Amino acid sequence: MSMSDVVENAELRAVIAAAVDAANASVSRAESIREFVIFPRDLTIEAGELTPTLKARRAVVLARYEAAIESIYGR
Amino acid sequence: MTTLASHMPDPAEAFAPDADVVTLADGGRILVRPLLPSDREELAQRYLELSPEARRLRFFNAPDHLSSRLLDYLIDVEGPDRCALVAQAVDDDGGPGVGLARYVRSRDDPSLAEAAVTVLDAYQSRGIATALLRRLADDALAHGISTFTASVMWENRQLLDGLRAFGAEVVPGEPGVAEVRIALPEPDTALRESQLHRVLRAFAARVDDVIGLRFQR
Repeated sequence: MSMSDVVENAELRAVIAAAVDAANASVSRAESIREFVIFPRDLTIEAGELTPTLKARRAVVLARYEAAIESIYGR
Repeated sequence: MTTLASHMPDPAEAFAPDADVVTLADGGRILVRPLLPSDREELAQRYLELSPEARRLRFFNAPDHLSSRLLDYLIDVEGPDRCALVAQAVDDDGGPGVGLARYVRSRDDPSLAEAAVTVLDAYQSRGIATALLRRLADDALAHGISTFTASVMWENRQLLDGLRAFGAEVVPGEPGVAEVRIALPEPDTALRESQLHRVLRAFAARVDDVIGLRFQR
């Protein structure tokens, strides 16, 4: 199974959706997660997505996954 | 009955000459020593004990546990380009590791390194991060690193105000994040008089929570 198959796997999505639902139970609707996208790989230092001490560089991640993120709002 | 306490070795001896015993302002003591490969399991466990807020301030986008790949990375401090220091609460049962600070040298400029520090929630506000950073700065200087910069979330306002008051340069990083630059003192400059020392005092004066530091010339 390739990673792109994995991220679209219904079972995996169901597991993550259950975790999202559990998190949503503790916040208001305005704060809730309604859609999510599973990235096909972990964030890495090599790709500039993490600093050498493993802090996420949000701007890099958002730019790299812009299309995926935009697709959420287009749904 | 004989008391065993008088026969207990000084905790620093077990790690000498790489360990320092630091007495905190409240009289508590910590042992500051290099991270060892044998700390791996404890590192994984202590991460689980960090509050979600503390994790977020340290990693910005924090996983809920450290994967084995992340642990491999965090535990590997071989060579001159990486350093990690553990603070152990030597007077507490089992001498738990309660804080961790590290730097990683920049690939682009050997005088730069990014550093970060984390202290368990229950041990914050006691000067432990300060003690770790002070020793980390010494080790960085000894390895030719000349400047550091803190990456701090803007919501850590009290910390940023304190840093500014002590002359640190604060510039906007990516959205939500401030970059704080501090030149490390020359090795022959008394640390007490240095900008670094003043900044470390500023750290100590507020919550010793989770900050990130990046060295830059």
